[in-house]
Amino acid sequence: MKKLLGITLGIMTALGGFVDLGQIVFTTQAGALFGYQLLWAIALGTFAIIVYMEMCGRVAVVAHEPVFATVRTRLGNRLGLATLIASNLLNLITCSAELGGVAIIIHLLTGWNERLALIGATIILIGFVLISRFQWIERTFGLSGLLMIVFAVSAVALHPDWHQLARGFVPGLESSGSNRGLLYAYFAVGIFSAMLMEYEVHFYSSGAIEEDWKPKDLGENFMVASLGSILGSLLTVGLLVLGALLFLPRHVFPELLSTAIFAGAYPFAQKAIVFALLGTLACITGAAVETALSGAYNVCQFYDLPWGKNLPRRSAPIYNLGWIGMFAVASIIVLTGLRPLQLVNFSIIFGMAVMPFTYYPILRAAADPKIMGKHVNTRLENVIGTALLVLIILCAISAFPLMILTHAGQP
Amino acid sequence: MADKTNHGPAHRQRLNLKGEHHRITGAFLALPLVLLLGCGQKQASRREVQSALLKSISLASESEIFIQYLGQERSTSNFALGHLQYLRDEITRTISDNSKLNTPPSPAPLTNALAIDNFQLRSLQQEVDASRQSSGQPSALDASAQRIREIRITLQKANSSL
Repeated sequence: MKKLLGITLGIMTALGGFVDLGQIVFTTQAGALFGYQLLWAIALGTFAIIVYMEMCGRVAVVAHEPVFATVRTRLGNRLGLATLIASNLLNLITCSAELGGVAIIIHLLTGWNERLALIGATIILIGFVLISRFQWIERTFGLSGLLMIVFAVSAVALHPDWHQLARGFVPGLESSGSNRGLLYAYFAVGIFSAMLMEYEVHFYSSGAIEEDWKPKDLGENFMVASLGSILGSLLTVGLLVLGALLFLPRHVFPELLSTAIFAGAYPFAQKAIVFALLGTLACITGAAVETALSGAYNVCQFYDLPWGKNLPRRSAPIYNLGWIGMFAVASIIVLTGLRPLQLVNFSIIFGMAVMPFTYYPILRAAADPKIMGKHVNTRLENVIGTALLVLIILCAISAFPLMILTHAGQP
Repeated sequence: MADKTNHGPAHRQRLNLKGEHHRITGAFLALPLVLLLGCGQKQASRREVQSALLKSISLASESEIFIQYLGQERSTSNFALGHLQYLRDEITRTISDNSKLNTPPSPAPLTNALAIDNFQLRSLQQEVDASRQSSGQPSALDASAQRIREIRITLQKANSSL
């Protein structure tokens, strides 16, 4: 049972990373524009995150080096500090967007004023994280996020063409036009980036240490990383299929969170709307918690300060002030009137630019026999890790030009 | 609004035609306003106008399917009111974005297309507002979805004329 519940770390990490506010809208848009043609980007992103999630979990367990300790030792103080600032800025922007999304969902569920919902939700979240041990945080959001399954059920209920769907796993653009090609590239990079958001590995490696995994648990590490990611990936496929079946034939380009939720409940009646709202709320709230905690983990790991949800609060003051501060500043950013989806579009592309500086140190550490001993990467793992890193670097280079050329993905 | 749907097809057709006339007249009346507002703003390219029209078509199409869905009483009232409000806000933002594209030196077909776009968006905004008031009245929602369908078709014609 304990092992079964251990999977919730992978589920929360993956759902918070894959099925957050940005990914929900972005993937539905990709389906609405290109049908099934971008399914391969989801498959590639899932493979990449499994590889790197397993690697960072292994480094954390064997070398006791969570991601930002690795960043400091592998990149040095200057570049490491720049990566820390960029990553935490990214975490803050994403946390703001997710909190804004939480307020939208509460408004759609209850009709309450969005600003009051935002303030109330932030206070409740801070209180919940403050009193909960790490395991309860991951179990709460990991298990409640499973309500998102309604999106996959809806996608199946709309009767996709399975043959065409399978063809979507092979890269290729069927229609022509330079603008269409650029848009296709933008969405492919965006989907890949959203699946590899840095905070997933920050949170996962810290979670492995919080849960006190030992080298004998490394088999579980692979299972948790794989199952959580595959589940998140299936829900992402569901979102893309909904966009393809419901919006593409009707020329709808979904730009609202509520539009994606409507798609998730479309074939069914009122209860499905409530399920879709609750599932989305769980995932988005999980992502907000993940980014806020990651912000605090990163700072403490970089400066080698005490950190951890399971430590007495007074023993880790910077850590506790860090995540509370993340929540507070993030909610203030949303209260200034910035739209959550504007924030998240920026964070997906900005995240891509920072990504190589997070994944390169993980690969270096996992391939270092001095610290990893017999758990060092195999040659095959090094080849796969390096190939994926090259891909991440290429995406990082192309992300900003694509954003400018496509007006942030506008058709 | 609900009463209109109780009339026969001929009457509905007359109403539709009347609505179409109003829209066309409105578009012509809006033209000078569009030209005035455009002073000192950047020249709209064909691609920008097409992009604006595509966005409006998307908003109209989404409003249409959502209002049909509401007519089938498959949504909760909080979700219905909330989503319609977000749609309305998006339409308002689009009208505001379009106003930055209006410009006198643009070729006539582009200016005409933009005028049609702005007028149809305002009509769409009114329909979305009306649907918020008619929540729980399937016949009124059905009629609204029908009018939005006409708005969408008008926008699609404007887009294909470019």
